[in-house]
Amino acid sequence: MINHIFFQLTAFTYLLSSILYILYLGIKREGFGKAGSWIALFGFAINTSAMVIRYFESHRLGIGYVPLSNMYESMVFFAWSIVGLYLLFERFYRSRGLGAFILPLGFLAMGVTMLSLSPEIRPLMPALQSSWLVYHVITSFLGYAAFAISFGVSLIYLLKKTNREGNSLLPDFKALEIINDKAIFIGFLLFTVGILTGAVWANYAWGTYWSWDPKETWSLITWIVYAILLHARYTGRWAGRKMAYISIAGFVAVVFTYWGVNYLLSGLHSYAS
Amino acid sequence: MPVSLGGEMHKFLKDILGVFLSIKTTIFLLFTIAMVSVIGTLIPQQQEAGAYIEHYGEKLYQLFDLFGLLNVFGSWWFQLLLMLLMVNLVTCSLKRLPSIWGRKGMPRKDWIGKLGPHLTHFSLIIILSGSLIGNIWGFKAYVNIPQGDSSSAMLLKNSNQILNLDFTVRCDRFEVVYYPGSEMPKEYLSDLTILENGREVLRKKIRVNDPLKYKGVSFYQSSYGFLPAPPEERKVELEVIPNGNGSRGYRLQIGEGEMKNIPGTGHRVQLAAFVPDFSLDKENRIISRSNEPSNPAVQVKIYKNGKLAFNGWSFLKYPDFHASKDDDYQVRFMNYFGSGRPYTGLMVVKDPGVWVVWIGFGLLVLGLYLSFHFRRRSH
Repeated sequence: MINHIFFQLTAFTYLLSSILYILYLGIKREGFGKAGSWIALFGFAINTSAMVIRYFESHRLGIGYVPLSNMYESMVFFAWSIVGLYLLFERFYRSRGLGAFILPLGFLAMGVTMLSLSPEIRPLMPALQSSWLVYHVITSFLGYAAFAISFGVSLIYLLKKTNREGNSLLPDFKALEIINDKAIFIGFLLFTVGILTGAVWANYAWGTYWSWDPKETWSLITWIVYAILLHARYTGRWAGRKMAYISIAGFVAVVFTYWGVNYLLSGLHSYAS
Repeated sequence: MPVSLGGEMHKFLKDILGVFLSIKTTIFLLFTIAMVSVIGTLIPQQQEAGAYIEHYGEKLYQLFDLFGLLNVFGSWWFQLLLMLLMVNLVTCSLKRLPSIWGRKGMPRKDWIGKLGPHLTHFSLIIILSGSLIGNIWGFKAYVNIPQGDSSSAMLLKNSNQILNLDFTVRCDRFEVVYYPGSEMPKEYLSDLTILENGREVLRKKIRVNDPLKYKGVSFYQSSYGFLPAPPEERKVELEVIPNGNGSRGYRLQIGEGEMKNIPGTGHRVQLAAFVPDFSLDKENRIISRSNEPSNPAVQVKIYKNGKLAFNGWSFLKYPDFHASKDDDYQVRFMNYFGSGRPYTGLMVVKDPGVWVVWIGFGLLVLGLYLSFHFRRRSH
């Protein structure tokens, strides 16, 4: 299938872009950074077209659905969201150094998908045939992607040497905090909408908007970690390294909500694997 | 706060209020709820006692049971944690609200930004109130209705008691639609009719994600199954053709286990077995995969002058399949009657609080948006 080849190409492009960003940070040549950005944008375009192609290929098979309904499709959308959101941040905050930490996350998502998940387009079971599913997946994964960016920024924050400002191509501590705040705001808002649209969908499909199944419960746990972060930051006036640690804890919760629940626990979302 | 209270009492109340007002309390409560929730996902909830004992052993099971870890989210102490969090939210909001109301000169942007978190907290209270309304005045129940039957008695989920609705639901038809050329179900469809005092008042074809709602009660497509007919109602139509010397075939209707004489031929035909969904297991034994007539098969024995002359299986879907060409007879499975009927499994829900929850959802998103968008740039 053509879409799978395009996704493989995307993975390769993201890898190339990651390497260029890392070289940029290491060798400090502007050219590498620029090339990294352009290749990332190119990869993002291929990623986008691959999703569109998959949509049409599913229709040609007579199944016809928005390709956001199994692990493979959510992963390629996750990678798309990370890279797309990152490119927006890069443009907005004019800092290419972040790419060396965030593009590898996009490549990781895409690479793992290409190596370990089945690209087969399979018909949707009846419960998944709902437009709420589309809203639920889009908002949840854009939220996850924003959290992934916050995770990358927090890593940089912790790795940067405290006394000297360290690598001059990375934003300073103040700027990192601002970027982190923004990413967490966007992530928290979108993730909240993702949980709520999931609840509305569950109510249409099963007659209950909340049943404490492991996926729902873990999404709440993740939500609480970020809620603690926001309260500690804006009411408790915490800052700096503490925030970075909570953000990393939050992303660990995201990863568990996304993969851990599917592969280690059981529940209503078990079809998603 | 009333001034007339004694000094000690006043101080005590103030201390308690202080605890609830503290951000540390908020973070502690959120953290505790998260940790307890983790436990609630690591230990499977509300399973049979036997399953726990098998997995964890008797001692650990009793310990879990003692601490209420087998139904964390339904336990009183989990509800208490949620309640405490709500009290914390309300007191914090009440303390901070006046500082917004009081300051007239504040720019509108800042004012809205400050209102955001309060709206967010308020929305959480609304959502919990909505779920409380649902718990008190609503119900969740199940019902299985065979095609052609009707019912007004629903089995309540939590108490296993019967609830009688003041109207009746009839299942006119249940159907599974498959994707073309595959065994993957595309849709589960139930044609439902609501009857009041024997009069039809509403009809709808429901499917997963598209329930029927009447008088505040919603019917969700949730499962299905097949109800086999009693064996005495089952009749099979066979065609028996003796091989060779130009003898003519004959048709007969026969029930399960029945033996029939065919006049003038010296034949006796016996329907030895009927299987609705013929299959072979690993040891090549004949089994029925389900009660549904997906692959009906019959075992027929023919006796000639008292001696067994034929013993073989025939299939409705494969009329030309014969075990052996050397047999003296060909037996064709033509038709059958009384195969049973499907039933639809419905989840029956009344939740008068669901609209309150939806409003809470809307306010939550609005509150977060205002908090983030109009936040004062403090950097």
